[in-house]
Amino acid sequence: MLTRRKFVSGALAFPFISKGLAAGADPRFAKSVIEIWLWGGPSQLETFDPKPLAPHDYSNDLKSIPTKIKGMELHEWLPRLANCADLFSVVRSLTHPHFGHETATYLMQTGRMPGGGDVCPAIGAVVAMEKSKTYRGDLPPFVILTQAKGRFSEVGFLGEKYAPLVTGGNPNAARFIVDGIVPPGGMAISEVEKRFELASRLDTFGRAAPDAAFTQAGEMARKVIYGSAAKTFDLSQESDATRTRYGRTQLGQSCLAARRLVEYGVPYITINVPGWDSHKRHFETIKQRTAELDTALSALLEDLRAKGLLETTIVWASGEFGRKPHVDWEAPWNGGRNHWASCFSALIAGGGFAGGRVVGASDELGEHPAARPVSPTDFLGSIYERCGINPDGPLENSAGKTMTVLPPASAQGRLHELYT
Amino acid sequence: MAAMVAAAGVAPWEKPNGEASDTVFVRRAALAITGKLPSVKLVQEYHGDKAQLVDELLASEAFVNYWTMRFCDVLRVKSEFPINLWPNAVYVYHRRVRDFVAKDEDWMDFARAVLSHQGSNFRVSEVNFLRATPRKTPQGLSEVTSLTFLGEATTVYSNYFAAVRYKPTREWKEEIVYFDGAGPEAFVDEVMQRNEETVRRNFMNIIAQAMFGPETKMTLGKTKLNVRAVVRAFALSPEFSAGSITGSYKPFRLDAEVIDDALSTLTGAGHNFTSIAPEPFTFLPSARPSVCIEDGSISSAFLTLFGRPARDSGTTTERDNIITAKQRLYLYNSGALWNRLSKLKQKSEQLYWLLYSRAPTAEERATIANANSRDVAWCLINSREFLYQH
Repeated sequence: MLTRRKFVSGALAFPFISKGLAAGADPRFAKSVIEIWLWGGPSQLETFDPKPLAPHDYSNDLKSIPTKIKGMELHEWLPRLANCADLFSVVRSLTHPHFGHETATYLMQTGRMPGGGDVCPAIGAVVAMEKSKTYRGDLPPFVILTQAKGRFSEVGFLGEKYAPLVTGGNPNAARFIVDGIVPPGGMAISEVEKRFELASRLDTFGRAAPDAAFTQAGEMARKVIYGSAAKTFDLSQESDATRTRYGRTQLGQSCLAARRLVEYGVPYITINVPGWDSHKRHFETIKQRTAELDTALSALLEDLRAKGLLETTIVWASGEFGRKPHVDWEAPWNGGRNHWASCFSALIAGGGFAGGRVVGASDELGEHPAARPVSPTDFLGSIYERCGINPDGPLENSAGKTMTVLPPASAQGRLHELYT
Repeated sequence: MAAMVAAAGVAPWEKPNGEASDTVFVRRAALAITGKLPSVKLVQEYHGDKAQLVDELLASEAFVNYWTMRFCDVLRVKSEFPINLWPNAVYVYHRRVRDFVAKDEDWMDFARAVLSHQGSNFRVSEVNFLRATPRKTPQGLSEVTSLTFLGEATTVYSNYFAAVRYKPTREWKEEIVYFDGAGPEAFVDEVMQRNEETVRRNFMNIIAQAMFGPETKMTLGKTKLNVRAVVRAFALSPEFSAGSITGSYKPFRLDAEVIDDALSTLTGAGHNFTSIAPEPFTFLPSARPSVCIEDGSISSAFLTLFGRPARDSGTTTERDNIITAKQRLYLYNSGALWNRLSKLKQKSEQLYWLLYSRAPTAEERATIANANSRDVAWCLINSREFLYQH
């Protein structure tokens, strides 16, 4: 069987999808993507790019810790991730010029700047659209746990068909109620069946004038209710030990739900994690969040690896930007960090990305890239390529827009150094 | 016996001659003209005088609300990206479109009005037509104007818009539209008047699509070119009276806002809408119907799911009234909707009048006698007889 490395180093610079071989079914490409979106902008200094040697005003004298991988250090608040550093890589030189949440989010999700009259789709919708060619599950191809990003259109002009299912609910609650998938009010399936039976008897108009589209839509909806789709959200099927390993937090249990969705076959899953916009009292507010992230993300990566899913599942974690290395000590910030897009970090793992590597570097204070700057477009382009989607090819759509999936790669190019 | 069955038509939806039955006609007319289900009183008091019924519906406030909404779709009344009218201008412009509908203004006169005014977007509502586009160049303006009035976007008329200019003022989001030379009013005389048939057909298609289904193209003979006159003529046409089972009227799914309002009326619970921009009118009272939402940027998960148009393009195809599995899944399974249904006080038979605008048949009566009224409500709102215009 052709490994990715052999193919990439062959005559073709990159294996594009040929008409006969859809990206979804091809074993060379990732099947699913889990995006962990740290809304508000996570601090690179307190996560993947620690600067223990920087002055107090930058590092607050916090330390870094070594990881399983020689030469890769993480912040002292990420001990569990340090222990499985062979499973993921970090990019330390992401950079773009936009310090506003909405513009930066749009750029990090679509690879483009807003403007020009088009509302471009985010990577989740594009991957969902491509993978829909082979994905046959009853759940939509794009699932968001548990709230959408807000002030942002994931689907853009691609249309309602690829809009995400936003689960709502709380996976850490006694029952994870995904409105619309799980029968309301904890109703048993037998009760649900009785109601459908009543509806069928009362459907006199439907019998007088049958309509194929209406009937078919109803059948597809019923398949979701009766089928295995609803069971993916039933976290009580997991052992207590597993649930504890991920952490009994909303983030932890969302990561567990994401793993189950990958097992079901959903191509794109986003976990939106709020609360990283730490302008005020940064260190107090972020310590707990970082610990939760450490527990959840390490559990997810190790679990995916144990189940043999990591090879075909991309996991990436980032925010719209990072945080300013120089701390704002004075009131009202009281030890806060402002937005910082000039240099920030992301984590990327699985699905054709090697683990245990560091791409790029920031300068001594973590303020600017010192080596190998990475643009959002290149970062997203790498994910597309590993999914078997050509970022330089046309973006299919029914809105009549002519554009490529992404703008052209920058001079530094996509993350080929991570491709396995 | 067979003769008796044949004489009954397809009860209760069609008369023996293939026309829509009385209850179907009242429901169909009410939805098409006012975007609302008819009141029980209206259905039960109807005795066959179509003209009287249609005129009564045309005189209602709901008629103005619904048709203002449909024309605001075409005119791209939206505050945020990519139209960027901004909220203050949206409300002023919406009121102008409302006047166009309510006062039986001629479509040609409206075109002249929006192409001949200059001034502030807050104070001179008409200028917002020339602002409701992402491309405020002569080419972009030619495209939106020809799309709105001729039915097809083209840059061929760019020269008419060469003098249109914009400048900001010190007031937040205020913009002055002015003409540095001859304004675009000549487009009305030189293009629209010379292509009167095209203009008429396009105007009628916009209305026909709401009354007969998406993609419909229909014209009428000589009617005045205002909304009320055209709606009236269509409503009293033989096509509009045709049955939908053996007859030629093709059922189609109701608009998102119409379904939303029907469910709100049934359950007595509306939604709270907020705009995403921190501008005036950020919070709309929950009792307000969805058809009244002025701003294309204000929506809800439900409305988007059921195809409320984004108002980005001004094409009538932007409104998506095709039924999908996701929509049906929502209606089957939504916890919020189920909770609202649980609070219903009406008995099952009354639900038939409220949701279907008719009495249950003998067969249906027998079935619902043993059923819980909440379950019956759930069955009815999940049926095509409720969700579709038929």
